[in-house]
Amino acid sequence: MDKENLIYKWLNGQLTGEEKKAFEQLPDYDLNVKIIEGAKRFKAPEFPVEKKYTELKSRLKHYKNESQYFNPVWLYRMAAIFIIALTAYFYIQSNTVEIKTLAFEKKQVVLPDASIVWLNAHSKLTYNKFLWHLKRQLKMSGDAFFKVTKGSRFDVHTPSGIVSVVGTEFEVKAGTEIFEVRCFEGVVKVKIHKKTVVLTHGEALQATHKQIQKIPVLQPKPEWLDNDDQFKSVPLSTVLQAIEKQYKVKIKTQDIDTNQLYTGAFARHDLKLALKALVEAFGLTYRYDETHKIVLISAN
Amino acid sequence: MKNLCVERIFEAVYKKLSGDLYNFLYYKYGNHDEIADVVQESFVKLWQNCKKVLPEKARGFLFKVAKNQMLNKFKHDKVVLNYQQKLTDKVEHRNPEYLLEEAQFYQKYQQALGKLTDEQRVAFLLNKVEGKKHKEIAEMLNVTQKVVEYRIYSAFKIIKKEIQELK
Repeated sequence: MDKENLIYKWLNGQLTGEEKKAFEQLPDYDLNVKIIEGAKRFKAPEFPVEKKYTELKSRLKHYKNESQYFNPVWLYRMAAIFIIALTAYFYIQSNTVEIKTLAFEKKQVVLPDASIVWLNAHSKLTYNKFLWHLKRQLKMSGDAFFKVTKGSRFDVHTPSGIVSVVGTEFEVKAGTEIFEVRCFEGVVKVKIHKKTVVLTHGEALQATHKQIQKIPVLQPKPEWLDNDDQFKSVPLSTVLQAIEKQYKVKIKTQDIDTNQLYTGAFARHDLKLALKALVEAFGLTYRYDETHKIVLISAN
Repeated sequence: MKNLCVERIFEAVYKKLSGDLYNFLYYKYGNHDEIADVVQESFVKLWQNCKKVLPEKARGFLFKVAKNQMLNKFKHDKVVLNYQQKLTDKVEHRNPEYLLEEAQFYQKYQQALGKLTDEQRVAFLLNKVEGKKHKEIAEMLNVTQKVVEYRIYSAFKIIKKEIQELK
């Protein structure tokens, strides 16, 4: 075996016992060993793995590692979003304003956009202070007069229909029997019975379950703002309902036609006066049971 | 799920490969301060691509990224490897003649290492200094074991020739 072959095998740890002896007999054996031993002096500096990993770990946090199969961070994010959504919901809900009026009570309400609402007795109005800035809309039942500041659409949702305006003065009566909208200024759009009726100033709309009719408005403002109630060609039953509501009494009728039409007002602070005026107009008579708050109207 | 995006697995890969990568770069490019930084950068890249790179492919990925970074960082010119100026504890070796001889030997050795090709130097030093098996080196460099053996032998021959010229 030649010398180079021996060195090759020695370098690669492939010498057999005999070859090893032959290799050790080589004249430059000492140099060969010294070269291999000497190589160790050129060893690379130690790479401090633990220390370097700690360094790297703090750096890795700055890199988004979006490809995680499961990352608890997502759970926290979802929880955070849920909590924010819940908080927002409750915050918005807490901004709901409800205004109610009792019998004989009237209230003036100023909305966030400076529109003014006068609520008549036994009425209710609900709106959200927060959402108001996004959309002007409110819920209302009973009887109310609106003076709307110019701006975006203004919606009044009632059990009977929706009244939309831009900037105007109008009254909505959303009782049980009769739905009435009177426009005093500007333009009002009324959605009722799946129809849209446009009212300009001086026009009013009266709707029962069966029919819708347009009538003129003669007053510059609702009468009740000046303390009495005015009816124009409405059935007697509607008038009686209004009196019941205003004075918190129960009215029973006996042998009379409550579909007769009535035009006029009734006193708002004296039940007896209101009843007297009404029965006299129809030639009827009434009895009032003050303890049970029951009124019986019968033919004369 | 065995995935590099899981920190525990990434850490294990770091502890297994960072030293090898460092040594490989050191023996290939010589003594440069930037090598440790390049190792770190390469692992950052691995972390960023943790979804695309399978753990068993991490070594290949790291070595490739590291080589590209070295190319961008500086011109690969003369390779210089430092050596320890170790004094032996034997009294008779402290005589000036011996010390001079020693100094000359290692200077020559250093020059010889610089004259080797990158491939020869890396294979020789990983084997003789780091004690890496032929199989490991072959995997690291993506060559056969025979090639590794031949590179070690060629390196040795060149070093020996350089040193013998001294005498």
